[in-house]
Amino acid sequence: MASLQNVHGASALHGIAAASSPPPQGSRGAVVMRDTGLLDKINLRCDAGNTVINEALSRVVGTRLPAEPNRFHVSGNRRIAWLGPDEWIILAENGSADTITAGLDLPEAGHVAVNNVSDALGSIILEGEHTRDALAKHCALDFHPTVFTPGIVQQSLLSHAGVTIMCLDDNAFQIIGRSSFMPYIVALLKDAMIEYGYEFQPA
Amino acid sequence: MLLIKCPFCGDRDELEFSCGGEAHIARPLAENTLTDAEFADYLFLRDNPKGVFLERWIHTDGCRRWFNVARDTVSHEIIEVYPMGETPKTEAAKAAHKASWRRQTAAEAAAKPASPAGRSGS
Repeated sequence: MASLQNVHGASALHGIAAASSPPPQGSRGAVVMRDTGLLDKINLRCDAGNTVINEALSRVVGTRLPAEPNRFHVSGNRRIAWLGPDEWIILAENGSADTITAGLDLPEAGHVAVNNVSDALGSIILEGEHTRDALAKHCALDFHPTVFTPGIVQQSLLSHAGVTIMCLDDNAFQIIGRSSFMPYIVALLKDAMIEYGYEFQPA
Repeated sequence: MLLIKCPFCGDRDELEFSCGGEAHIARPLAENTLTDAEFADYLFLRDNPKGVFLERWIHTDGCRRWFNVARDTVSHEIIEVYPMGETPKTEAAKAAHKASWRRQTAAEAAAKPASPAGRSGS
């Protein structure tokens, strides 16, 4: 097999230039939207109570599966997010996917599917006081700070694009969407954020 | 617009879901014993009642899981949401399940596994 050592990936938002729009009067500050760049993502399917996998995860990723729907667990800069009653996504720094998938390749774990989906999905982070207002323009989810609290992950539609939205902090959200939809999502959000002011930072 | 309570994700907008049509259509096991007309009940004919209807839905843009919904086709009221493979629990939905013309079809009778003693040939 040819070596892939010198092949470098590009972010799903590669080529989209930095842009900004100043916060107008009355705005509580610009929303900062940044491309997180290359980020490894692993789709995991198994029973929530699979002890072999849970133990392997605490060893390899640093945290266990969130069994409760719409929740994610954090370990440093890695996360495990609930996608379905038997489906999760692991987010980890670029280059770590091989180690994690190898660590979960356990015959004694039974019915388990581990798939590296890093290249299928892109990711952005939005931060700023008006983040919830901007996202609510294109999504039917309840973005009230008492409802969509840190630690909650929800899958929904952002306008026409299917996305996974994670609340990282009071006014910080991470959005994961299909790579091919990421430029659309960024364009959509830039437009939504004009009235608050924004800054887009490429990876 | 319907507000559908996904059994996993909670209340969500109808836009996120896809409807899979009538629920509780069992595939006949012994299809060789059915006439074409009887098999057509299973394969082609779908109910379209005025009132409570039992249907399958999938949360396409959410958790991508299937579940059953008992919905009133007149008022759009969602009476019950219940898991795949189960029958409804509420009185109205139970009555709709029982009253469906499909319960009387030869195709549905042929969907039930025959008892080992009653099995004829293979």
